[in-house]
Amino acid sequence: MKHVFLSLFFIGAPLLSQADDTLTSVLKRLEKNMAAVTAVSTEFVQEKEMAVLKRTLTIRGHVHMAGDKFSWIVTAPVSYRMVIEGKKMRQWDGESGKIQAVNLDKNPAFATALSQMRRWFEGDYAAFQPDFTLTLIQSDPVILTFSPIDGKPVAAYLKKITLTFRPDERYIDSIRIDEAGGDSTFMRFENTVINGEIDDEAWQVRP
Amino acid sequence: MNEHGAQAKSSEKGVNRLFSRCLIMATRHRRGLLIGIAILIPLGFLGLTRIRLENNIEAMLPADRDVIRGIQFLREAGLSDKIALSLTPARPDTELSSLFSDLDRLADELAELPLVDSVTVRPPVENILRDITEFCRYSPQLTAITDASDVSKRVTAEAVNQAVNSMFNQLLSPGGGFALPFFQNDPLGFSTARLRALRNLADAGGYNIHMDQGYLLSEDGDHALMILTSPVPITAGTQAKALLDSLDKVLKTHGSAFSTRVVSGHRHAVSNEDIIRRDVKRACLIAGAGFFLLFVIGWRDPRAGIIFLIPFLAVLLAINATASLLGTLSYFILGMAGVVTGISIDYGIHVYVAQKQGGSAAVTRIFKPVTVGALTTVSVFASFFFSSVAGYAELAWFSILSILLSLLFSLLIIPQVVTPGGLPFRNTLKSRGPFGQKSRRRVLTVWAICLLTGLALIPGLKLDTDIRSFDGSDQAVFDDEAAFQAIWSDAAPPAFLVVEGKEFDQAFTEYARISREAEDLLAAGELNTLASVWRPRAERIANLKNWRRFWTPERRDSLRDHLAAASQTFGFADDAFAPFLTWLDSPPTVENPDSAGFPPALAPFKTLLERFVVQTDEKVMFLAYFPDTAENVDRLASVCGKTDDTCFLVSRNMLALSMSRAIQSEIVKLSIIAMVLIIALLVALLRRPSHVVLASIPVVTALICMFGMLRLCGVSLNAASIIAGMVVVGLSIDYGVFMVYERRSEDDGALFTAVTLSALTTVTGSGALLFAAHPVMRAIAVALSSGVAVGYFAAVLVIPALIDSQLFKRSGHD
Repeated sequence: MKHVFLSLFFIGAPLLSQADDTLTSVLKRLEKNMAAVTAVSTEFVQEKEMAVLKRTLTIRGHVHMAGDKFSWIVTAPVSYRMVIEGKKMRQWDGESGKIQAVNLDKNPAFATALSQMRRWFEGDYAAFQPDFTLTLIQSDPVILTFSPIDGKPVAAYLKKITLTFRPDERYIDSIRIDEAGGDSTFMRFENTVINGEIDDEAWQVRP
Repeated sequence: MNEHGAQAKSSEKGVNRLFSRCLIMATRHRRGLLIGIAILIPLGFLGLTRIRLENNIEAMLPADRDVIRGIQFLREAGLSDKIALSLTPARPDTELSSLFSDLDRLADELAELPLVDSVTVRPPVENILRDITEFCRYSPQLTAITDASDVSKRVTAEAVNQAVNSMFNQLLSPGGGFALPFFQNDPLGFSTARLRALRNLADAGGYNIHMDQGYLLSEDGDHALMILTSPVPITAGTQAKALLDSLDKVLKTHGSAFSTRVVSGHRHAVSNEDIIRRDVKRACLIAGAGFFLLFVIGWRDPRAGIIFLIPFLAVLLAINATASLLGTLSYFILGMAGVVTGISIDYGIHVYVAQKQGGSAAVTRIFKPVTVGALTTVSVFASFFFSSVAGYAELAWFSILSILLSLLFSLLIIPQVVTPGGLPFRNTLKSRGPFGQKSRRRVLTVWAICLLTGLALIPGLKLDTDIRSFDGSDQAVFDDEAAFQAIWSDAAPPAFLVVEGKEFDQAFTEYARISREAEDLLAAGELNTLASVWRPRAERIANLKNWRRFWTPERRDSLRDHLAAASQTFGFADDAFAPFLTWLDSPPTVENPDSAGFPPALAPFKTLLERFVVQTDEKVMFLAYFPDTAENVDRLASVCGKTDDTCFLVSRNMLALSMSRAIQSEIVKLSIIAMVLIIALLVALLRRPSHVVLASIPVVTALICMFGMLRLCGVSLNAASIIAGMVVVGLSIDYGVFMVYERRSEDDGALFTAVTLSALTTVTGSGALLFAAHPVMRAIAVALSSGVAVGYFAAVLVIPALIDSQLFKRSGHD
């Protein structure tokens, strides 16, 4: 019996080590690939399933990122734009036609939510390691899950985040967020242009 | 000789006879006396190991009401007891975000330290929203609702539609869902004003912090902030050192990841203590070497060592006695040991010189002037008992005991040890004969010029009231603080409005009333007060009553209909606003406070409120913050002035003003008391008015020139200089008394020799402190050295010149 355990240990140890190496090497590869990304323009389709909504909310729009600029443009079901430059966030909606400016330093909770969202897009996954357990679900295409570590505050509202990468691993193909309360958000990126020219209009909060 | 002089001579003879008998008795018991002294020395050292030393700046501050209140508040509020760590990656090419896991590990290790209570590296931001949502449920208690109020305008169909639209937009933004529970609970923003106020409270610290992943980062994102709390008060020297050492040990193990700046009051305490220790050691070595050269090598008489040994023994015993009397001893007082040694060595010098010159008979002759000198110095230190500065009373006990013990030992022991004959320096330190008219005029002219110059310089002398001038911390401590300030803050520290009381709600009611008045006097948004977020219990009960009255069934039904219509428009579920409607019907009641009087609703914000509420066993203090300008302080002083002593302001500017006022009145008070005591003693002991005037000349000259010298050297006058000034008065009057005696008693120069050696030893003692690193020690040394030197020259030159002048000859000086 003792020999069986020893054998399992000696056989299992390299496998475990290999699994860990695979996750580490995948993360390194992803971060390397995404580090080369200096600008992104992509279309997205977001589906939100929430208890407060009667039916699935499908949101369509564009995301642009370059340097410390980030813009989130919703074209359907209504017009909405949000532009972040450094610590200033401005948002506009077609219904009211008003622009609202927010200093992210004065809204730590909102700033944290946004900075986390940007990290998913920018590939800075090492920053999540204090709070999440990372699991490599699939290598080709890469699928990673981030599960909050028990006891961490994030576990109170988040259940799991699943990232699926494009086959060329230069950017995310889709992201799924499962919240602790049962709500979920699925977001798919389409027609992604990496390191291309971004029109100035993308940074205008009012179209 | 007139009748006055004859009486004085006869009384002097009586006193001398009495001392002579004591001396004979001491000689008879010589062996026992010396054995007793030999036993006292090790006992004194043993006692030193048991003394509790304290490094408390408060002990050196005047007991002015505003100063004490301000300093006490700063201590009780524990605002300076926190330890801030500013961390940046040790390698410049490393991103701080890649070290977040290391930050957590470091925080965990620091939290394990026995002298650390808590470590904040990452405030639980995720819980903030939940806590804020919960807090908003208390809005009905915090809002004075009326039919015409803002609430009425928010319940129209259009306003409700707009509010639900805004909530829908929130869902469209990335990560916007996080705020959903908040919107569900208060879609119409009834608690918006309170939330804004809550946010302003969070900003009251004046620090530029932005959060990333919940970590507290600097504006440039290159530095992380970690806040530690510790049970160790900043004044507890030994424990503070243990705390910093343990921090340092942990930080070193993370040295490859982080470069860290530690900012804490504990560093000041430990650094001051280290520097004073080093200064005392250095001063003792320098003074010791100086005394050794002077007495053993210069005099070539190993027995001259007794002159050094006596004040040393006196100081050793006085330290023990003072500590036993008062329970503790301040490091500042210990630092004064060198100065007091320099003063009390004088009596030994006089006795030694007299013994060498003429044995017991000569010692008996100088008994009276030496005792008069000692008593005048004692009277100067005795005036410190009338000071409101606690540390001065400590200094008075220590100095008086040292001086009296030194006088006693010198008079009784030196004649037992030193053999008469072979007075050294006899030819080099010789008193000059009577002044010729020309020399006399020259001396008096130079004296007059010095006095006039000193007097002209005094008005420009600055009074330094900055409490930081007592802080002699290492430059690295100040450098770290300056760097920390540059990284984390661009605002000047605010001033505080404090309202205190015995019971939470009673004090808070007064605080809320005063805050309202204060807000009217300051520019909009300048006052950061807890009263903008929370209200007194009675007011909350009244608000809640009005809220219930406002929400009539008709109003509730109408609002329910508007919400249902808007939900339909934007696709929200039928029960999306159920939490809000339930809340309207049954808002939280006014709960009973916890055992400390703290309302449970505020419990989640205790960390934030720590800056606004300070609770001790005896009282509770509420703080409001405002920009520390003279105008603001003036305006709010009028508000506090109207209260029954429950409200006060603490501002750096006002503290400086109060200190300045207190120090000035302290100088005047102590000077008058010392002068009265000295003059009374001189009149009682010297009897003749002309002698009293002559003996006072070195004092007046020394003080005027010392102040002038301070001005010339650009040194400001501070509380420490008062000590030095008083010591200068005591010593200079000694020199005056001795020189008057020297001229009166046709002494053959022994008194002059002794006075010169006394001045030399005092300057050696105080001069040793010129090399001190601590500013208080150095200020004392500059004042003392210059004052004593001037006092000496005034005594040995001006007094003889005046005695020889026609003026004093006419007044009957003999």
